[in-house]
Amino acid sequence: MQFPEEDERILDLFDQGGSSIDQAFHLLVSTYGEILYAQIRRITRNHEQTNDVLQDVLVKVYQNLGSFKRNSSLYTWMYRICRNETLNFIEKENRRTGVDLDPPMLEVLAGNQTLDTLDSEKISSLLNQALESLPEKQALVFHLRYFEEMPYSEISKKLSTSEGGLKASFHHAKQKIQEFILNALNQ
Amino acid sequence: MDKEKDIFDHLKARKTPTPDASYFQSLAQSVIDSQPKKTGTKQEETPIIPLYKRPAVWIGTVAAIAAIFIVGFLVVNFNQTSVDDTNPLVALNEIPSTEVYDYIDENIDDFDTDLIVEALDASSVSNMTLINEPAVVETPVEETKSTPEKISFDDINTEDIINYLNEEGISPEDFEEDSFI
Repeated sequence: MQFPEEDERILDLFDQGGSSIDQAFHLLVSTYGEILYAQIRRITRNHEQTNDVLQDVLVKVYQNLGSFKRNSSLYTWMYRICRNETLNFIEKENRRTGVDLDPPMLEVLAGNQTLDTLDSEKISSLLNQALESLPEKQALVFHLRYFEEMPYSEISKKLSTSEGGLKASFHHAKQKIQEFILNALNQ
Repeated sequence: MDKEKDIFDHLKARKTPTPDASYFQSLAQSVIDSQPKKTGTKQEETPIIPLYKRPAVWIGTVAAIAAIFIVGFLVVNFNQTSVDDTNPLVALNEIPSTEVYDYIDENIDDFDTDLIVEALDASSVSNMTLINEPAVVETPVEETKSTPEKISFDDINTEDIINYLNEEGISPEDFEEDSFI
């Protein structure tokens, strides 16, 4: 697979130095900012906290973009930073009380005996735990496909992965999440 | 996947609210402003000056050489003085022998004889020769008979003699008559 074209353009601009660095960074944020934001907000469920975490993530990206090795796509690299920063933030914050939170990321639909007894809050919390236990690539694909509803063709361009590989990753991710949630409910 | 157990059929993901594009542009700018300016271009790179062209290196080298000379000089001097100070025999060797003889001649009366005897062992005394004098050839000297000093009893009273003999428990009869002749 080829390195994503958008990533190529961003890194070329960055390598030119001077004012091109700022231009490269603006292009990076306009391309990936929204996905990263949504990824963080699904965990923090609050704009202010999402803003803090995203700012930390982007500072790290800005400082380390010069030493990026192109072993993966930019989004895969930033996803990893974003995931670590969010988890660190959550551990540190330990869920502040008195902060207005978004509704849970999952809504339980009627018709399943097992899930009918659960509220959205509980199932969303379990889904977050399951996502943390997944391999990075599977978690990343699940985010883009399930939450962002991104077509495989687009994900394939973003991550420099074949569509078949993405479908397999998504399938495994769903299976593992389901097992995790059912195990948790049966305990 | 078992349809009965596919929980995703009964779950729906809520759309995560996201801000508009202007938010991301201002966020990117605030991150850029918070960081020191990147200098990634080759034109802006700090020029590399070879070590030998740097004045600080020259000054440092000269100072180091000077320091080595000074330290070496001090070490040599220190060693010399320390030998002289710690070992008086070495220092005495530096004094000419004539000066030593003159000093001894002038101060011979002040020397403590006992100290000299202590310092010299018997063998060194036996090998000793007189300074500035020819070695004395020992010649056998005839042993002269020492003439006993004449003892005179003229000044002693008879009474004193008798008292002495009584104190010593000597009876006058013990003496042979001849010895008084």
